[in-house]
Amino acid sequence: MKISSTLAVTAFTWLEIKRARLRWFALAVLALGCCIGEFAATIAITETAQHRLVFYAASMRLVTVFVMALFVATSVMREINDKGLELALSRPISRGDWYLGKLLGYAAAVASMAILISIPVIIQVPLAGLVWCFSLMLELAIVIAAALAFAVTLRQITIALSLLAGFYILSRGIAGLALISRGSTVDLTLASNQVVAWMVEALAFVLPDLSRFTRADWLIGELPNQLDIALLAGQSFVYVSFLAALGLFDLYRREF
Amino acid sequence: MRPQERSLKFVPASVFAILLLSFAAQIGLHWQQPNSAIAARQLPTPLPAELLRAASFGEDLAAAKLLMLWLQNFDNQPGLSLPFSALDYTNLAAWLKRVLELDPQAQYPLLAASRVYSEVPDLEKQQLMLDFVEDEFKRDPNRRWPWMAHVVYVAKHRMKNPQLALHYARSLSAHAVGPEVPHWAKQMEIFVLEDMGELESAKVLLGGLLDSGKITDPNEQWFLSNRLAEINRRVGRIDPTKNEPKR
Repeated sequence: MKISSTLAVTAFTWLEIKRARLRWFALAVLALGCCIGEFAATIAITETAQHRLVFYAASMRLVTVFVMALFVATSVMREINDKGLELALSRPISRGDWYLGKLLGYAAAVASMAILISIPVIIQVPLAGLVWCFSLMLELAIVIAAALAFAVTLRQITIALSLLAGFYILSRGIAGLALISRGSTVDLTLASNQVVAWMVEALAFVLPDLSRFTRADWLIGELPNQLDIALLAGQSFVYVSFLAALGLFDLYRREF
Repeated sequence: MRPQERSLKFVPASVFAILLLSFAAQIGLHWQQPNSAIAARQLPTPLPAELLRAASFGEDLAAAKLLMLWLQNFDNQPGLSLPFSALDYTNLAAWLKRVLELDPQAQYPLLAASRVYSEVPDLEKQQLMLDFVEDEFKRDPNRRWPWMAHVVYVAKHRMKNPQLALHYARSLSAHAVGPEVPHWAKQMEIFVLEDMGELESAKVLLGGLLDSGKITDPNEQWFLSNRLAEINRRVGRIDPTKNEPKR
């Protein structure tokens, strides 16, 4: 694996992002988010500042995830279908260089997107806003790694995006689902309920718990401690590595 | 191996290693992850129904069902299981009301209030739930009467408050007047009065009911006449010619 080759792919990916005018779209999304936050603040009788922040943060988190996942999946699929990948691999670039270069390029894009989206939050609550921004970057890193891995592995945009949506929703809700599956209202003497609880727990082991990331309540309440932030970074690193290895495993086996 | 796939030997060992190591790390991380959020969250103030409707994109019923499940599982929070008594009952009642606004046909919120949340060992919170059921019962009494009947039972036997039970029983008799409501439910006031030792009042009500001709079922007539005779015996003024049980 050559760093120069990886960086070359990263540079081309960044160029593609620039030409896609994603920054203008991000600014439009930011303006829309401000309107949503302002609307929520207008209809709230009390705690208007909190309503503004929470609605902005929660809606922007979802929109950013959606936009970046869609962008990465379609960009990779287009490159594969247009034979851009085959052209790149005909040059002295290994499959690993290409994959890592793409991942780094998209990671740079989500970092820029997260910073831009976080500006209104950082202005209102600087420290909490920075923590929220950092967490959003970590969450988006997992999302784009999943989008890249699913697009490379499945090679069908519809299936890849559906799986990605399922992965994200399950990862956001898995902690709650695990609790509910063994909650006080569930009769665990029934074998079927036990099997469901066991399956949900097994899923919780292999999915990242995204409900711990980018929480809007950090902006109006207690901030996570340093250990929590370190664990989020650790979780993001481990899962991005896992997804990258998964994508690479399939890419190395692919016959062009 | 599919035709368009190469053999596993083409995958570098480093990729295998990263795949296995990161998977093991993910399992280990989940295993070791402390519950950072171990702090009981309180029920928030409910959002306006209009906002919930907008958020559900018109799927009011689905939103109501989802909200009810969320509310029902609110006592299960990461790392802890809250007792119902730790919940904010004012907000709880407001959320239940919101669910009924989104789905007026739903019986679930009334069941939860009368049979689940009223089981707490806190008289104030119990009464809050019972009052909630009474308020909502009055909006659709002929369909929601079963929960009101249970409220009478809770006030009488769980809260040991016969006056309160009588109040709810009177409310039940006054509002649930449809043909679909069984007579035993409409007559709960009489039974509560009897249990309270208010035999005269019970006698008057029961006698009036039997004389009104509303009771047409012979078994029910016999049962109620028996009760009236029993009350008469207890007050020591038995009139053998009147209201003796007949079969």
